[in-house]
Amino acid sequence: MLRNIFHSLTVLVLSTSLLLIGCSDHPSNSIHDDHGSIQVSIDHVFDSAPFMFDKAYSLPNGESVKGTMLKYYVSNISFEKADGSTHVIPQDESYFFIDESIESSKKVLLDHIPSGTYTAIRFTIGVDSLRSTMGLDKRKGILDIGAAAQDMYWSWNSGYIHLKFEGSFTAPNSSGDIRYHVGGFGGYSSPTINAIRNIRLTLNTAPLVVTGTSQKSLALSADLKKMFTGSIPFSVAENSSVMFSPFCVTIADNYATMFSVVNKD
Amino acid sequence: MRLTGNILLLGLCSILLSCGETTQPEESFDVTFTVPSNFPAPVYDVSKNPITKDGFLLGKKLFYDGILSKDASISCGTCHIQSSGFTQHGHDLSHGIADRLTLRNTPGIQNVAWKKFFQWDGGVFNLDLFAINPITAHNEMDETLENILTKLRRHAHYPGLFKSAFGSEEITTERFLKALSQFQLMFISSGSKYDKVMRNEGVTFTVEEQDGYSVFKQKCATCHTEPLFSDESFRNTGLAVRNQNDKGRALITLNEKDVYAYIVPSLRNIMITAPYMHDGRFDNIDKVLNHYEKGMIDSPYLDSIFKQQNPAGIALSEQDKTALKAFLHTLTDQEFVQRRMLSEY
Repeated sequence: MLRNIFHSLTVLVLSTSLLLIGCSDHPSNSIHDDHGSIQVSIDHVFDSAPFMFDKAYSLPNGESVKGTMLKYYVSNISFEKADGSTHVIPQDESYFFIDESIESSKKVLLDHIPSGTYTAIRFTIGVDSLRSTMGLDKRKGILDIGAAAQDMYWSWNSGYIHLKFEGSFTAPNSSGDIRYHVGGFGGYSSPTINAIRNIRLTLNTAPLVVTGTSQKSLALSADLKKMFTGSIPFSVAENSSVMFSPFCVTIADNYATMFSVVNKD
Repeated sequence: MRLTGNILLLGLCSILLSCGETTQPEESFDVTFTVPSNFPAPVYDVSKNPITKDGFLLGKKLFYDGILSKDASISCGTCHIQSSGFTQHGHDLSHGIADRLTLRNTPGIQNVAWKKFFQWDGGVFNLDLFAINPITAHNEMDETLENILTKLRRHAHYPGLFKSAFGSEEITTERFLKALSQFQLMFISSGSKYDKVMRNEGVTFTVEEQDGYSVFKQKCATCHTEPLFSDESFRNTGLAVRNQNDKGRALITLNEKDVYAYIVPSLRNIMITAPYMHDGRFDNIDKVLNHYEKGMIDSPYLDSIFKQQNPAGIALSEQDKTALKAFLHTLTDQEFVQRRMLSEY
């Protein structure tokens, strides 16, 4: 299971839960049993096939790609309710690191979810701009630039790498390595690229109903083919190495379309 | 280690001195962060990283310890040498481990609490986030922060020093970087003749220095704003392109207008920090002044401030330059470059 980054800040969690209790939509319920949990899982696929490292997948333009590394941040999760309100996971606890090579990283347990009927999930791919400018005391756990985050951070241009995809490609006339390090939070003082992407997936046809202390699950799928074709299809051979360049934005626009809801209970 | 003859000599002197003396008197050691009366409010929020004697000493030990580099050969102090205003005197581009050459000239370390940006391209915007950059750069220290923390945890002395500084032996990214900041925050240079004149401490400029100050205010002060002598803007100063891979500020903003633009460096201690410019291409101040007078290359990227005359540049007579140099000498802070509490030995 994924560790929340600030689980040590018990006081904060406690005060936040008190706050949530205070704002509860169901004052008639006992305060002890109107908070459930939701386990969000992400399954990586390519088209409809399961995604696996070192396996070649074809793209519509005749190129094929293999992956050897897939890592990204998911942050700022919130759930929309049928009544129009939103439950926001406390910001300090809302950073998760998804690593395809670590099975447990692809399951995120969110607790203290108030009872209710949830009709959409929102989250960010990457680390938001505000957190990207914060001091070291706000960069703990998976955001620790001297430990867990050290390979997901550019020291020369202070900022997190939102997503890394590495592997190789074969095109009709060439082949080579793929190295995508997608970052950019908009710039600290001078505007520059922003590859932070906010995702909203609706659960309208069958809302997620949290009652009592139940644990619900929400299975998402991420189709990596969309990284290359989702919004603006591009040639991998012509864009095989991308690190802090305007093309980060194209890749982010593409992978922002890769998520979908598979099922829920 | 590459130490120049001067530094060696200095080192010897200080050894001799320390042999002649007993230990440094405790009372001379003050880590109170005081804003000089002619300075503005600092950028760095010192209340979030209060400087303590133990935190300062830990930062100092780390600053001068080769343990920060992959092969233990280089410390921060290798390139940031106190006697030359914490620059690397005599090197145009700085060298990292295994003599790997970097892209740029070592900037000085002074008055960092007042800085919004670090590095020539301003890619780092917080002092606490700075050190990780030279530490991890392949052509500088080529080490990882994680590995340094591991080495420090296994070290005979560091866990105890972290305990003294932060209350427990735990060695974290935050503590490590904040200790380095505590040391560097005390690199306050405000003891130059210029400062004493400005603070009315009974010192006056000579006629020539005063003339130079007038030239400075008229022709240099827009970018080299007093009292820190930089407005921390990024400008293309019309230098011939020597390395097309170093696009300066544009590497950070990806903005065409920032191509080959670099941060305006402070002029404090300028007369002891040769060579000059981001790549150290000018080995003396005359070459710098000549560049601004008649050496600029006009291009679409050249900062507009230099385009107010044709050809582009700053009109400077020989008399102006002589006076200007006299004024620039008043920016040298001997007390700062000799301050015992900042020195390696």
